[in-house]
Amino acid sequence: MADSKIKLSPDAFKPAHVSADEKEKIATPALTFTQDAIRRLKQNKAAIISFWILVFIFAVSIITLFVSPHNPNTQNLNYTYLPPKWGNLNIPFFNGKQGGVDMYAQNNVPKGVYFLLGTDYLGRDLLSRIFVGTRISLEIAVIATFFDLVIGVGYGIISGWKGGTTDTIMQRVIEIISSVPNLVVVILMLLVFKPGMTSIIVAIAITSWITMARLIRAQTLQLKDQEFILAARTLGESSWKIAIKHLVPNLSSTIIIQTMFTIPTAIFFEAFLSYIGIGLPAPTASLGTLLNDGQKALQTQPYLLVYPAIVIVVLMLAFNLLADGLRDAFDPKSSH
Amino acid sequence: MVKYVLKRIGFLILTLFLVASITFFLMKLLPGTPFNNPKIPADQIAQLKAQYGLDKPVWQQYLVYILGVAHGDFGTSYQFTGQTVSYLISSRVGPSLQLGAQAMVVGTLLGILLGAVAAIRKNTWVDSVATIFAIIGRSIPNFVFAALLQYFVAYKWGLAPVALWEDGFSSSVLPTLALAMAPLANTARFMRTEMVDVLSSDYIELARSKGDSKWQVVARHALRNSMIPIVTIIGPMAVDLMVGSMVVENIFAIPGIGEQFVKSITTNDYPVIMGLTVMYCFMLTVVILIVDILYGFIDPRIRLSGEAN
Repeated sequence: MADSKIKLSPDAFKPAHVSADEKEKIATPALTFTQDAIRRLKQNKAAIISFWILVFIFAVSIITLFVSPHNPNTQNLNYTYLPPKWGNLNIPFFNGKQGGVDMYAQNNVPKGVYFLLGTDYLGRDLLSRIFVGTRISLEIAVIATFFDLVIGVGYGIISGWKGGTTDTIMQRVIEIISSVPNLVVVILMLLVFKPGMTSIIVAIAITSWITMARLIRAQTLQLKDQEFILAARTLGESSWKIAIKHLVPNLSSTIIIQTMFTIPTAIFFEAFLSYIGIGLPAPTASLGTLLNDGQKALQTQPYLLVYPAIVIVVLMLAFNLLADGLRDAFDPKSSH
Repeated sequence: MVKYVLKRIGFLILTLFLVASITFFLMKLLPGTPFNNPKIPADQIAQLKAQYGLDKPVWQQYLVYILGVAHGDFGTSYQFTGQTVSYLISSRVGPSLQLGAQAMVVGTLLGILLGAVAAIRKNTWVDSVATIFAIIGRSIPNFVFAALLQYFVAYKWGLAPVALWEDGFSSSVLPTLALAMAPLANTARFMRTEMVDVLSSDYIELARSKGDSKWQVVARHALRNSMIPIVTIIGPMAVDLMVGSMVVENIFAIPGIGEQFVKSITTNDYPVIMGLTVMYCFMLTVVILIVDILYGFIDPRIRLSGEAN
């Protein structure tokens, strides 16, 4: 064997010199909890696609505040029930024809006037109305988030932290509110205030935060007994400071997940109320009123139901998928 | 146990009392009156008000109302002259209960099936399809789903009656499906999570090492144990069904209490709104109470752990 002939001097074996610092060095950067969650979220394709769809919908809603293909509330009785038409492109369903008849020619619509998704029974442009309706749904989403964060988190933390009689009373109040079906509360509110955005907001303010408050209370009760809270208390931190500095950061994953689950419920509420005719008053377009109008004309103009339906389903789907993704990312134990 | 049930029933009565009171005073805050037609002369309005007891001071009206509610008397409807609210509700509760029960059975059974299959075939295409189906079911508003069912299945393909409650069971098929969608999606999601948990537990390992086939393990051990927590979502499911019934009954023109509720709101028929609100709360609280009691019976571990504490 050739190898055995190699002579190695004892000098070749020196202890490697490694400093204590280097030994302790961690090769990959330490991930914080949030970074780790975001890394997990990025692996979930459905959630990421949903996120970008939502970004797109938000962007379109903001842009269409300034530019809109037509005025969403302008009525033109010469243009009623025009099917969708995309310029001069001859694509089925988008060529302005219904039952083989060119409705645009029949109604003497001047050349160059197109309605990308058609018009409703008052000749209003469906696409522009869908933009307005989507924007309202998103406003509702933002408002519901706000109440979830302010009332829900606040209520839960106070109830869990104070304990004793305060907790008992606060829990009884929650039990009473939640023993009335949400929609009944919402409808009663709508009766007291006039139908419109304000009453929907009040209704959401009353009902949407219940689940959040319950979850936050349960978690606060658990956190309360942990050593770091005890340490903070012993050091004389005020309850407020403990709540903001120690409780909220530890509750953040619950807060994020639950908020994402509240949003689709709130969007559904608004659409539902407008659908049964006690939500936003005419002529404001909301996805609910559009769906109601569409359902009335379903047998002759199915597109009036189909397009708003697609928008609301995509919106709900995107929020639900993103919520699922966030839950898996922030709370990996829960699903696998 | 008896003490617990009595305590819960006491709390249930308190809740209903509060709900009835709050509803009453909210109704009194309302701007409109049911007799605000300008064509009715003032003396006739006064007469109508006297007839319905609306000329008395509010506290007297309240006492009369609360005492009536305690006896199951919710007053008289403004909308249908001379009909008592109790009669109106009891004559309409049948179709709603039938629909609700059918939807609950269909929803939970299919949901359990879907969730179980997804869990057994975890991380395969079967799982993906089931999960996508459940998420879509959660995302389609029930009124959209109902309208689409009505258009395609009933109108286009003529497979079921388009609306109304006249052909017995066949007219309940589409509304049931529309209502069952939400419970189905929720049960499936819940079932999958539970089943995945159960399938990785020790007693399943034991059953496998004993030599049971995969299907024996599922049928004898996994399915039963993962179905226990499903009981807890019956409460929220009941809410879903009540809410859903309002639109679904409307779309399919079914004479149920959901349709009545929506109709009463648009006509300011306060006694009916108050009566139905209390009714909905009563049904919901009773369902939740039954579920809580049942839960202890179904799963002895919960009772045991309760006693140990």
